[in-house]
Amino acid sequence: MTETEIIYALSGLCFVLGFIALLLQKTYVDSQTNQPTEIELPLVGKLKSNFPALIFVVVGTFLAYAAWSKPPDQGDEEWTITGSFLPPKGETVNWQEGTLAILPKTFDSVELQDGRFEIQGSIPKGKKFEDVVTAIIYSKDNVSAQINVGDEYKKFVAGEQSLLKSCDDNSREYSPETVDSFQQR
Amino acid sequence: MVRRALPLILLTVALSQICTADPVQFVDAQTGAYASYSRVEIDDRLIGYTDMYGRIKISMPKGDYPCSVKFFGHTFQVRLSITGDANLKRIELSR
Repeated sequence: MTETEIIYALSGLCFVLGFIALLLQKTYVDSQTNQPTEIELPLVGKLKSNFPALIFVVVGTFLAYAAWSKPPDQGDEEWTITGSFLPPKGETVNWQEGTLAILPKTFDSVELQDGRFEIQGSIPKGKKFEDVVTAIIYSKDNVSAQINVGDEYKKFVAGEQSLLKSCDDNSREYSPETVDSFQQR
Repeated sequence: MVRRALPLILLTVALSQICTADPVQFVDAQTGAYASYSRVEIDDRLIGYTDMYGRIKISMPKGDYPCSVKFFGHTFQVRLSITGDANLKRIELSR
C-alpha cells in the first residue's frame, strides 16, 4: 500500500466517522447562556456546533486534498555516465591517485581506470542528469579537469561543439577532455 | 607615420583581447582551507567550479574582473586580475 493510498484511506475513514457523528449528533449547550453553541464558517455561515462531525469532515477534506495535490512518486531510473580524461601533452598521469567528484554529490564518486570513468546512479523518473548534477571534476595534486554538464548539454542541444558526445534517455557519453596542469609558484 | 603605426596598434589591441587561462587557487583566509568545489562567477556568468584543491583555470582577456566565489554557503566577492601568468595565483577569501 503506497503512502498516497494510506492518506486516501484515512481521509475516507474520517468522512465515515464524521457521518456517524452526524447521525449520533448532540447539540452542545453553552453553560452561560443555556443556548446551543454556534460557530461561524467562511462561505457556509453560522452553524449549530457539532464539533466531532465538523472536525472529522475538515480533517478528511484536508487529507484528501493533501493526497490529491501531492505529485505521484514515479520512482527512480538507473543512469550511466561515461567519459574520459587525457593527460597534458608529453605528460603521464597516474589517474588512480586523483579524485573524481560529482557535484553536488548525488552520485558516489568513482575511481578512474586509464583516465576513463563510468558513473552509475539513480535519478527520479522525469528528471534528467543535468537536473541533479552540475559538474564532474577530477582533481590530482598537479592536474585537474572539469565537465560543466549543464553548459555541455545546452551546447549539444543547440548543435554547437560540446564535450557531450551522445545523449540518451538515461545515459550520457562525454568526449575525452585534456586535463589542465598546474605549476606551483 | 601614423599609417605605418596603425596596423601595429591594431595588432596590439587585438592581442590584448586574446583570452589567457590564468590558474587561480582560492583559499579561506581564516582557516587556510582550500575553497574546494566552489562555484566561480565573473559578472554573474558561470566560469566553472574549483577542484578539490580550490583551483580553477580562468580563460578571459587580460584585465581586472569582479569575481564571486560560492563556498560553504557564503558568497565571497574578490577582484581578479587576469595577467597571462601561468603560475598558480593564490587568492584569499575574507569574510
